[in-house]
Amino acid sequence: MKNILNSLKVNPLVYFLLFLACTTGEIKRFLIILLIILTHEIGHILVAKFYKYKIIKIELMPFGGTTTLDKDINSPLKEEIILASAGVFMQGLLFLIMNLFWHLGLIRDYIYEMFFLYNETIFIFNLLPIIPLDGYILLKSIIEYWTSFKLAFIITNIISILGIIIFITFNILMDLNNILIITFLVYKLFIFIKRWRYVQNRFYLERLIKEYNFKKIKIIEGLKPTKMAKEKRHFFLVNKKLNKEKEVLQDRFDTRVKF
Amino acid sequence: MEEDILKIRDELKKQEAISHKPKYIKYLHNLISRGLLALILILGSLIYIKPSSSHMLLYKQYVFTNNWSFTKVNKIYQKYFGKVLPFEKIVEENTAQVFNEKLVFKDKKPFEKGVSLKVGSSYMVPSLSSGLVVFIGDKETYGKTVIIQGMDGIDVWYANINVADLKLYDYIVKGSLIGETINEELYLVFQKNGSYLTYEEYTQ
Repeated sequence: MKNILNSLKVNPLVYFLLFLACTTGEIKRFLIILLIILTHEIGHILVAKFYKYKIIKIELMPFGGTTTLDKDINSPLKEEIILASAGVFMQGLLFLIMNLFWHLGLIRDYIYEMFFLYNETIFIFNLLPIIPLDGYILLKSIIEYWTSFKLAFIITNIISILGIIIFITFNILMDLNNILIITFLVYKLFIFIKRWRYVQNRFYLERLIKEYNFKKIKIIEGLKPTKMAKEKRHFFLVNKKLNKEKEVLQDRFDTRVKF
Repeated sequence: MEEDILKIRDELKKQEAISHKPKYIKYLHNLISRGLLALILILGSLIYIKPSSSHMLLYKQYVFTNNWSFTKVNKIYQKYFGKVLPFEKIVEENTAQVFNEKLVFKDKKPFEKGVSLKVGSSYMVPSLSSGLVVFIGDKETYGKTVIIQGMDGIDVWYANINVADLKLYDYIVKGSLIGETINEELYLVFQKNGSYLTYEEYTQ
């Protein structure tokens, strides 16, 4: 618990937003949004703790929050799906609790209505298939199950870009908040594409260094590590000979000069 | 080469030791800073009030009487940047208006700083403007009052009513239910920047 509090960071823009909410009288809306975001992030944190992932930092940002974890790229599909859907799941639990309170008369209609609509909108927003939202990670996990790691990367990036374009056309009202959200999404997409080489190398390195017991086998023709997929063991067919995954990857990372 | 690495490591350790204070000293430091700031604000206010009674009246007006104009700041912000919080457009469209009737009265006569409208007993009073609830309570000679700070910058007092399910700092839309009148009279007061408007001036 103490570890979580130590890694909690609050973006300074949140304080500015709080100041703005106070001076415009929108404090109740702000607090409701904050509550929804906190429960969402707590969902991610609990799952991360359960699977013993290392939490690097938890940052509370205006209109949202990010939890940065250090976990294997080759973690099981089941874990990835549970981690990605934990946030919206907690929002569902929160809805049940608030609904109960409302029926018991502990919450006024005004507050409950406001909560319900914001919860719904944030729920749907998080399930959009755009980097770095939860919906994107869910989609990526499913696509990675069917295609290679690199192809999944390309497909999900195209879907992300399409998603951003659709989002922009949906929000014809270009007020400051929408501009900020769109800028944020575009920025994250750009960074993600730029980091591809490092992610790909980490994918290979994990396979090289750690022991994985994948049940399915995939045979790749030729020395093409880019055709490797998650959750599968690979053999490379070169000159009618099957090479093991680790040998091929070792070769790739070998710095000795070969003649 | 190795000696250099060891040297650099020792230097970094020294630098870290200098900037690293124990946690309670940091907390104490912050506490004293905040305490001194609060003290400066109090003493500053006292020094301001002391010289003349006009200062005192001005202070009283701005600090104790006037409401902070939330809706004015909100309106200015919305003019340049759009809504303060996101997803609000969808929220606004979905919430149906609670109660949407025009205010109908049988008779009107001046009362204190505003008007008294004869509306009928337990009349359900709709809000004349969208805005923020800035006061719910009792006022002398008016009875139970609700003050709504309208988005147009005009405060409207609704008095002599049993207040509906409203709380302080709720944002309400035009036409939503404020409350029910206690007897047959509804008192209204219109205030703008401290000066009082008549009913005719307001409905223009």
